Amino acid sequence: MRLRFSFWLILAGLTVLSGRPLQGEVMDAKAFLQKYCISCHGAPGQEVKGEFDLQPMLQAESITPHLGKWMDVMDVVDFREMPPSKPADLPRPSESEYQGMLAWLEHGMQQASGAPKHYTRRLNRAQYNNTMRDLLKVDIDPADAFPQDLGEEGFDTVARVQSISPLLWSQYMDAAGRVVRLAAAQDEAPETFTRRYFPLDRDQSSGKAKVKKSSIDLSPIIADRKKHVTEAGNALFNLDHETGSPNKNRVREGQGGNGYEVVLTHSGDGARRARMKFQNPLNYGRYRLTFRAYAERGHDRDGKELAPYDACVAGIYVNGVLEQEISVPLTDEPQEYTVEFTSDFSRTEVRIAANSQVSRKHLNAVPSLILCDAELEGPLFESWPPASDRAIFGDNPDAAPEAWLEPFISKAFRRPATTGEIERYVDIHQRELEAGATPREAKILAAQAVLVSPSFLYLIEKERPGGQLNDYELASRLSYFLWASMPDETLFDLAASGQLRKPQVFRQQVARMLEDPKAAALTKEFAGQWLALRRIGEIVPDPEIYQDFDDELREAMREEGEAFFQEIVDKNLPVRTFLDADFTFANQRLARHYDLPDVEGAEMRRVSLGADDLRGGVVTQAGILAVHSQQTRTSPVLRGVFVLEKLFNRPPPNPPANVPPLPESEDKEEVTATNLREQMAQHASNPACASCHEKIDPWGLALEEFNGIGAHRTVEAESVTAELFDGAMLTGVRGLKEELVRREADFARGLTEKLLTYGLGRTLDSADRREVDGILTKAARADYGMKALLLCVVESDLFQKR
Amino acid sequence: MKAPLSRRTVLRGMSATLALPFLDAMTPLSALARTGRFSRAPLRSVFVGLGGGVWAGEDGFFPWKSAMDVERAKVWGKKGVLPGGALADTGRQWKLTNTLEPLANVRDQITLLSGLHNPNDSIRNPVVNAHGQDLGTLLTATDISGTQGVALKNGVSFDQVLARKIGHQTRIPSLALTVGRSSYNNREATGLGYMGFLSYDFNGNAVPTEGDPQRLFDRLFTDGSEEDQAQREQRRRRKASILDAVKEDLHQLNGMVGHDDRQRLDEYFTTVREVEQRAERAKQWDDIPINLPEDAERPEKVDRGAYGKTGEGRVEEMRQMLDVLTLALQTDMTRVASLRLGGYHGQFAFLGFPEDPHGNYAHNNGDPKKVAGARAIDRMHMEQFAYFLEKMASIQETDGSLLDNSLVMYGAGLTNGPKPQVRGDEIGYNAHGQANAPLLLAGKAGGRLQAGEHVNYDHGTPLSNLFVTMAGLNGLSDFQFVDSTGPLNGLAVS
Repeated sequence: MRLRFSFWLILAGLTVLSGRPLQGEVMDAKAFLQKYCISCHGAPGQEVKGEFDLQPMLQAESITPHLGKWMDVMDVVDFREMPPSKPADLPRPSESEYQGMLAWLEHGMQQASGAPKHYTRRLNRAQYNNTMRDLLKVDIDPADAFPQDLGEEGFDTVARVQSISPLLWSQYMDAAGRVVRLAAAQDEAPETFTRRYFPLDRDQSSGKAKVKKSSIDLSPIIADRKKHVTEAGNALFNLDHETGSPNKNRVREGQGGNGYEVVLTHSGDGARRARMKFQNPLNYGRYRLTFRAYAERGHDRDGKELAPYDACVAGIYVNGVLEQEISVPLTDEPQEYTVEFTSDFSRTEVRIAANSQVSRKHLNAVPSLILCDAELEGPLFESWPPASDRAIFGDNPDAAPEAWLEPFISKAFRRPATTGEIERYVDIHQRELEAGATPREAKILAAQAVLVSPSFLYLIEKERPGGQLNDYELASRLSYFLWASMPDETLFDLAASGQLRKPQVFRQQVARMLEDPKAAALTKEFAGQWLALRRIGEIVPDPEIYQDFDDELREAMREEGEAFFQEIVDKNLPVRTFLDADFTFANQRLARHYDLPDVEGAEMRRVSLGADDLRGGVVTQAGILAVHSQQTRTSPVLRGVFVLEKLFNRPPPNPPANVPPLPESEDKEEVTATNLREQMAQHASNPACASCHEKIDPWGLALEEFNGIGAHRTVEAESVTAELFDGAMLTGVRGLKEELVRREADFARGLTEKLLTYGLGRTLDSADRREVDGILTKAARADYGMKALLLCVVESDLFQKR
Repeated sequence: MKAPLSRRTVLRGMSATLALPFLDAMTPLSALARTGRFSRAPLRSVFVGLGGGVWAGEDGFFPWKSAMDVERAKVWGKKGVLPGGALADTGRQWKLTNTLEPLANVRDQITLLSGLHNPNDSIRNPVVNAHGQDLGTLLTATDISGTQGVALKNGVSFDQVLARKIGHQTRIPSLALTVGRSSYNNREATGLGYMGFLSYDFNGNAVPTEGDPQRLFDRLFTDGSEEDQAQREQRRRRKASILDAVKEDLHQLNGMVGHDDRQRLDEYFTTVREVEQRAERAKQWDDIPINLPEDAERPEKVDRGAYGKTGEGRVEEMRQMLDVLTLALQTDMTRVASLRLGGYHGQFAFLGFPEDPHGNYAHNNGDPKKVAGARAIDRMHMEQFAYFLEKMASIQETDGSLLDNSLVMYGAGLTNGPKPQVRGDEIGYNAHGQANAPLLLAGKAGGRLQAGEHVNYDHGTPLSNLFVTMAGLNGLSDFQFVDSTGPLNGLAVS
């Protein structure tokens, strides 16, 4: 009993059950069920197979009281799963009988439900953040404070489960006000400054200890509590000193501009750091930090040098939030690193910290961060008023309100503003002025109002015959699919001139959009949900069993998944690469986990895999394996469900409410593959369990070569050999991947359905099936290249029409 | 009559001010007259839910007078016989079980309610199984068997009905809170996600929950506190301007879009109207100070997520949220709140039980070692609940403590314990049963509920009858909710 596609929920109206004519075809649904189904599912005096009793449904007046069960019937009819293949002598419907029954069911379902088929999509949090970033050029992710998005079938873009509440509306209003206020320039261009920071320890900076001579004169700020910056713009790092550990933040003679450098060792929480404070004159200012640093091997208690356990990572924090992490290699001389950041605080604090997150016992073996000096410059802006201000109010600060409102509304609403709309917002502006507000405040209010309009918050698509979309609506569909954000100027221009839907132009735009950096949103939002990468942040492996699990590994797991997906898109690789690949992405920490040689540094890079390497493909990625495990052991069931749900988009039904657990192992060790397999034998021996589990377990058992955090372990061949429902044998990971590749077409279908669910913001139903077939036929011709598949998706009628 | 304070200020750390929030002198006569309250502190109704069920077997949520018994089990559901055949230890002398022990100091405030259930939960359907019901139907009592595997389309929940009736008396009609995130099965949770939303609006949509104590604190107590009269006027005028423009936009759009799309826009319009109404009502609070107590602290930012490697971080998060909720009730910000306190998810290694909580401790099948895990988890949650109750009990109001003046429902939608049906001569265990819901009430409803008792109900008594009782205590007579048949009998209600 599988629930394939979702249908309309609200029940209204009735449908008569039997003998209902259907567009010229006469289908006797009752007779169909009596002939092919009742003998196992509700014959009087007989056992009811699978606890699925058709009798109440047959006796009911309409479909409505048992809608859920009718959906199950529709599923098994749609996939020809019932009657089952064994025993072979069961009477089976003909193909046309199947199709007739299916059509009858679809029609009946639609009649039984009065719910809308099409819901208007609202911007979800990620889309809201990106849209604000692109529209107002201010990047502060205001939607992170909104309540969590709800989702369906694995994606938070699905419109049906979106709702709005007074709380959320108020948050929209506050967020809009806040961002517009940050975007709007204050009156005068600020003075930019450049400041350089150097290390000195506490005694030195208070004047107690001597400081050796250098070209940098810090004497004016030494011993003077009030003065922090010299005339020349030189200042000191504020170094946090740990109590009781004199050697933790150690300033020593070195390669900083003032002849010193500071050794920052890793504490696992970024506590060993250098702080820089400055006054930010802008509401929203952009700055550039350049620092010089290198890494040096750590030492054990006896002072002996330790071989590096992992790469040295420097963390840059702005106002307490981690902005970026940089891998600093072992070199003798410092290298220069640059980070640009924004701040909407007036007193801004930037920190450079030794930021490795490996587990406590290995921290000493991570090379220390040796920080030499740093330079901070800003606020940066190309012109005044800055880009964010001009994005709303245009280039001329003295222009009449309609002059800037018209283009702003058009961009915000993603289509040309109407005269009525312009007047409406000009009116707000004027009334605000009349109430005594300053011109700046009046402008801000008008802009804020635009950003709370339903035309901004919702993707409005007009009703037209044949479900046609206009170019603007199509541009929005495209940009929210590939960028999770609004269309850009090029797309708007093409829409304005009616060029966008010309096949050649359309194709060029799709190609361009996929190469734009904004396409990273497809990886983050789509892959993040499709491959459950978002859940990597939530896993909690038992610290006693998995002692080497740390947050560096956690981070690397997620980055591998993202980089792998991105590569397949960027290089237009065939989608079977997801199933089996001769490469992956890794950094030093992940390479240690995978036993891959010669990978240094914390950045992800593409790594080729040898023919005898098991890794390569999503089922071998540690992140996915770890998410689909339990806290203390692997979970072949979860992994099997991953294959069915995420790769083939054919998830098994929910487990029954009352499932007894498997007995756990006594020791503080992970359950071995053999033991687990024995325990799972119940799934096969108990028929109530077997009907689903025979389809789930084999996939997961083949992956038992990987433990609960995705590391490889030695297992006996028998424990990773499993027989699939249809007879195919899987032997371990290799066998599994071969079988997956053999089912490449099914995977392509599953992936396409996922892309459509995400991109259209709705779940699919059997009416969409023909279109999906069409997409796949076209994509097959291009060997299922990922970009080609994406193009086929957006060129399909499903995407181009309502 | 004293002139009410003229500034809407948040009084913090000022020893000269009265640290006691709800005092008659602070409230303008007109507001008092409107609400009809002259000598009583208002009644607060709180609904605390635990996801994934609660162990109701031996030494669990309900105290037993005698142990399980196969023969008695066959006649469960009447005369105090619980599923599995144990006898409910009813009355006032009930023994504290392992799970209930944390309530020792406030037991005279506790009313245990065994035997209730939501009849609609039992409707057989393979689509929305118990996992999909969980907290989702606890306050709605609705039949969701027709929904797709996600109970996101529901009926309205009782707390929202209550909020609609009495919410206009407070600054905020109601709060819907969670610790961490509210879980639900969107298929991303791969089939085992529980339904973690308690509150549903009148359209049956889940009410979005607030899960960040710091942000909640700011929203309730800090935002806008520094305004003066002129600034407040300005803010209101601007908001009204915006709302007018939005309504005109909606009007224009309605002509353009199809019938189906209009549903969403209608919801938007309803929301905007609600915002307008609240803005109107907010005016009456202008001159009433919030009176945050001296020791009120803005919660620290906690790193959300996995609660630390051994899971111990969740205790701090729960307490933070309970603290802010207490402040909200204490200052009469709201009188209706729902809170998803916790559940069987994540890591419980800090209790000595590191395995997957759902698969092992929820689905324990009666295995003693695993049952120990379930008890430990339930007790840990109960400890936080006791923390909350003791805090409320220590806050004095006009008459009685904040707890005296409240009704706090605590429990779960799922019962983890002995199966009602006896097969052969064996008592089995059901992880997610829907009979004998684990429920208790805390508080005395302003003295109108004589607490301290364990009352047992025959199977078949709808849980919604509890809501009829609660509605009655809130001054709503002739109240009916979904399948209710009247108030709960056997409760000493005056």
